[in-house]
Amino acid sequence: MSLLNGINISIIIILLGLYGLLSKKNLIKLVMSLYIMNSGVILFFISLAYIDGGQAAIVEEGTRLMVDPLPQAIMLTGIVIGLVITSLALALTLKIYEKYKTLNVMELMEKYND
Amino acid sequence: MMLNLNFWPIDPLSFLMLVILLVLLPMVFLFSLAYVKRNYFRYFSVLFITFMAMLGVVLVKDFLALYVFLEIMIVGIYFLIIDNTKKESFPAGYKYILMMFIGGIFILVASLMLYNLTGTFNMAQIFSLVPALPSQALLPIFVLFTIGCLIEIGAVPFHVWLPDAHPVAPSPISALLSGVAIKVGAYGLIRLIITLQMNSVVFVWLGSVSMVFGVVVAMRQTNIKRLLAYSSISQMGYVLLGIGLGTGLGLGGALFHTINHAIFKMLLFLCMGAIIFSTREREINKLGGLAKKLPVTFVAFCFGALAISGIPPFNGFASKALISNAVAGNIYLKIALVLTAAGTFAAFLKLYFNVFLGRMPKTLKKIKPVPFLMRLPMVALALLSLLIGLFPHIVMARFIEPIVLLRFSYLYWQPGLLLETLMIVTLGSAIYYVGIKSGFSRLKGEDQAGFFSLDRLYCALAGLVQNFSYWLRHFLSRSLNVYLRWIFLTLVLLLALFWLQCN
Amino acid sequence: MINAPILIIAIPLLSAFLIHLTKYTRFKRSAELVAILALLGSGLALFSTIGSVFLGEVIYYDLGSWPAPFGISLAIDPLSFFFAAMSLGIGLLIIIYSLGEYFYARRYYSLLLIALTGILGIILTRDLFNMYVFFEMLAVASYVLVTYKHKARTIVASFKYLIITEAAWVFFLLAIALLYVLCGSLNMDSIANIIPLIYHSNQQTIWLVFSIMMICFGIKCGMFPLHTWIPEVHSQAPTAVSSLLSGLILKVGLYAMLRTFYLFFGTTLMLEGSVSNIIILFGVVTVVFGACMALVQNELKRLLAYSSINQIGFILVGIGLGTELGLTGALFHIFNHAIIKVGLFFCAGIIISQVGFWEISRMKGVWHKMPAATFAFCLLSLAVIGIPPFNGFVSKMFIVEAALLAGNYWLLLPLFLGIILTAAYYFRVIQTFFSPQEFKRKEDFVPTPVGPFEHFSTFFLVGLCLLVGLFPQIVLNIIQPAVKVLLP
Repeated sequence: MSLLNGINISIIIILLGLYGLLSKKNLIKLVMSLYIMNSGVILFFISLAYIDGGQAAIVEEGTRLMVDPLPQAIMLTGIVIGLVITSLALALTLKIYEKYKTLNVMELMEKYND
Repeated sequence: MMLNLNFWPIDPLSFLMLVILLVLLPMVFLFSLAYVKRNYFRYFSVLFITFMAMLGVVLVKDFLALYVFLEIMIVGIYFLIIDNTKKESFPAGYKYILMMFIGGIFILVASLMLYNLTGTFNMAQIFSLVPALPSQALLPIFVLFTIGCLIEIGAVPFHVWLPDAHPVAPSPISALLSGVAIKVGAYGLIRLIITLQMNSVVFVWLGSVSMVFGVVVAMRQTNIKRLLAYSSISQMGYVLLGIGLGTGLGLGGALFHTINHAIFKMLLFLCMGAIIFSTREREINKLGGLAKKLPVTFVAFCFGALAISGIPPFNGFASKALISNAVAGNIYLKIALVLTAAGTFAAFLKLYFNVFLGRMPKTLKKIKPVPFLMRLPMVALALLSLLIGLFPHIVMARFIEPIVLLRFSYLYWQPGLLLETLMIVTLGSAIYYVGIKSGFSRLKGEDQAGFFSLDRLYCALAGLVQNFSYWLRHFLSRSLNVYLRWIFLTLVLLLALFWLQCN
Repeated sequence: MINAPILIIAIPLLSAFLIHLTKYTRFKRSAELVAILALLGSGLALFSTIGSVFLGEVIYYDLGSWPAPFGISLAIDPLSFFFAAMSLGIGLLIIIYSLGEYFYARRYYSLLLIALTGILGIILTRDLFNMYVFFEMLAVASYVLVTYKHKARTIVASFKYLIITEAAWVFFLLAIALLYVLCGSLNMDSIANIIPLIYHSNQQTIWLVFSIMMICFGIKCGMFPLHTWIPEVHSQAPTAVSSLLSGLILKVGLYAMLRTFYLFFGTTLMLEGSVSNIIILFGVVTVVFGACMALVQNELKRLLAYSSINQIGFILVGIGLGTELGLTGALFHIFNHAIIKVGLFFCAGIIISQVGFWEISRMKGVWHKMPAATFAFCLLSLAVIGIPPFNGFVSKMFIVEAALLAGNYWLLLPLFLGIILTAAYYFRVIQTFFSPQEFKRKEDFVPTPVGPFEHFSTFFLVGLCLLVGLFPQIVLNIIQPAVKVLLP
């Protein structure tokens, strides 16, 4: 198993997203990191359920090995959920910018505590 | 583990407390009718709930039910104390409710531990099961329950709520507090001792400290109700002393003193309430010469003051006689008793001379006459005090002997005790005189207990918690990233904990 | 009725969309009517199963007729019944309260119904990913509900809520992935059967899944370091939404915790010493932390939010103790705290709508203008402190008794501190309400009239507290079968 398989890459993506969440101060970057983490997890699950040499989960003549379709179905739903959350977060960010004219978490904290 | 509200059988101890309540609660009600001028519905509804709760406490035969009614009583009295809605009634009420609630929780935890040990809350069943239990297991229960009851009684070192709650409460409620609510705490203690069949000599020590401490600080007070509050602490010391002695004579004396103190302390608080109603003043230096203007109050006060000092033929003498007999032999306790009685007499001489006799200060403008509904309870209690003092054996035979199962016969009119009374009177007058001249017993100024204040300890403790909370609030307001870091830090921590214990 | 589970979830969901169609009717309150009818219909479906559920039968429903290990299944067992009944009842009261406030439009009721669908879905589902989807449904609905009024601070609060919750729930998806790979199925009952078999070879993965789940449910319910969204969101959201959050959403996190911890991990992990100790430790820290912070709050709704955190700590202690009495106390306290806290938020809402500001120190003398709301607040705060004869006393007594029975005497000290501090901060507020000075409104503030709906819902809850306090057996009869589900 090469070191560059789906699972390792997805773990790197998740950690990248996590780093972004924990250290970035711009709201848009936070939302981006959240979505990156979401994508990473989705990739992780799909890679985890991948079987080498398996084909798409459609029953045809001559198929011997199939990839498990359940994770793929679940992750479709997961992608949709991630999309909804991200769009909602971006809408909130838009509104925050409208009201506060800043997208920096620290400045928001100060304005907030007035 | 359900609540069992069984009141039967009404055993002699409950019967005694029931009679005390049934005599005194109507006095509070009558006085309130004249005293309370607004928010009638709120005041009287809470008053009746409190009455019900008090009756419940003394009648139930179940420790859990005792706790339930005790809490209802405490909360009811809290709402009555702050009924005045004056600015200073709130800190005092806050201190009151927090301390009494803590006391209640001690009682609850002790009852639960007792339930775990014996499987029941019922007092009669516990009584029969207790001899079989090891006393090691009963000791923490006894300690916790006792601490709870001592807080309710207002014994040193848990007395700090008393002197603050009494002055700010409306006068009938001060009378209710000192006259009845404290006795309920004593009732709880006696119930515990009877049911668990354990006693401790610590009560003697705490009782003596309360007695002496109460009168010493009472002499310094300038607020008439605060003086009476400290005097209550002192008198409940007598009761604790009697309970702690463990003999039938001691317990009988304690119970009799409970009855008597309820009567004369309520009488004294009602007198002070009448004074406050008439003159709107609470400080000694603003009062004086009221004997002519409020004659009924004056005479009632005299009866009460003589009763509390233990002068025959009033009821205080009889119960103090019993306790004197109970401590016979122990010279230190005897000295403490004499000193306390003398100090009490001195404190009430202070009230007598400076509030009723003497010149009326010019600042005292109009004096409203005391209404009939206020005079009635005072007169009734004064007469009751005299009657019980003249015929103490009736009270003893009817109420107390069934509890203590001893026969008391004429332990009162002994020449030794009469001589002791004379000594107390002279010593008390001397103490009063010395106190006034030396400035120890002041007539004006703030009435802090000063050096003796235990209040500072409690306030410091509360301040500690509050400062910690302020620090916490400051320390924990952070930005979003920091909150996220905490979350993942917790995840890492949990992982570390769990993975370390894998093999 | 065999179709009850799907009806319970589907009726509010469909009605959520139907409400938007009521734009075309001429009846002015049609949206509210549809919402109430939806909840009543759902309640009817739930109560039609009451007979069989309490005879011990679990009612299963497979979606799309796919049998259990392959498809999603819903089930009603006594634990789910208890939570679902509680959710429907409190949802109904929240809608009744909202009827009185005129700024709630159609989309509010629609979102509320979606949130309730999410809650009912979480409670009734037996599929792990389905639970994740319903949690997200509930979360999205609550993010929008919190910002219902588009005020600046509300939006920032909602954003923080979103980021904090979603950051961790992404990991929940990871946990589901790992669990699927280990167990081959996402059905809770199948997983519960498989985990004991595979535990010893995959210990680290299972502990990873467990920790992630604990963090995710902890965020939803308000465990100590994970509670940070609660104070801001509860104080900025409109009153009915705050009460929905505090009363139901926090509890749904606890339900998920109970269901996953005791059912999946029950026999292998939960009853091991360290897990229960860790949950008790978190619970204790939450109790003391919530109480200390509530002591120094100046805003009324923030104080109530920290009070919620305080009480959730008690429930966590009960859950962690794991004994029958502890779980009974925890479930009972979940119910009691839900009704009390919803009532308190309603009172706070009435008071704030009349005075126009949030700070407690300015709310002096509220008693004179609003005796009814103050009276309700006093009684409800006595209930939450644990004064007999209200319901909080019974549940707290159960938890303290469970702690004593478990021999855990050191536990008593923080619990004791928590109870005392609860009394301390509530009496501080009550004192301010009874103060003789009067509060001053801002000059340009017009108090919105408080109608019968708000008062009815508040006093109904006060009466319910008193009733449950005097006759706890009513609720305990439902809780005891639920505890048997958790501890067979």
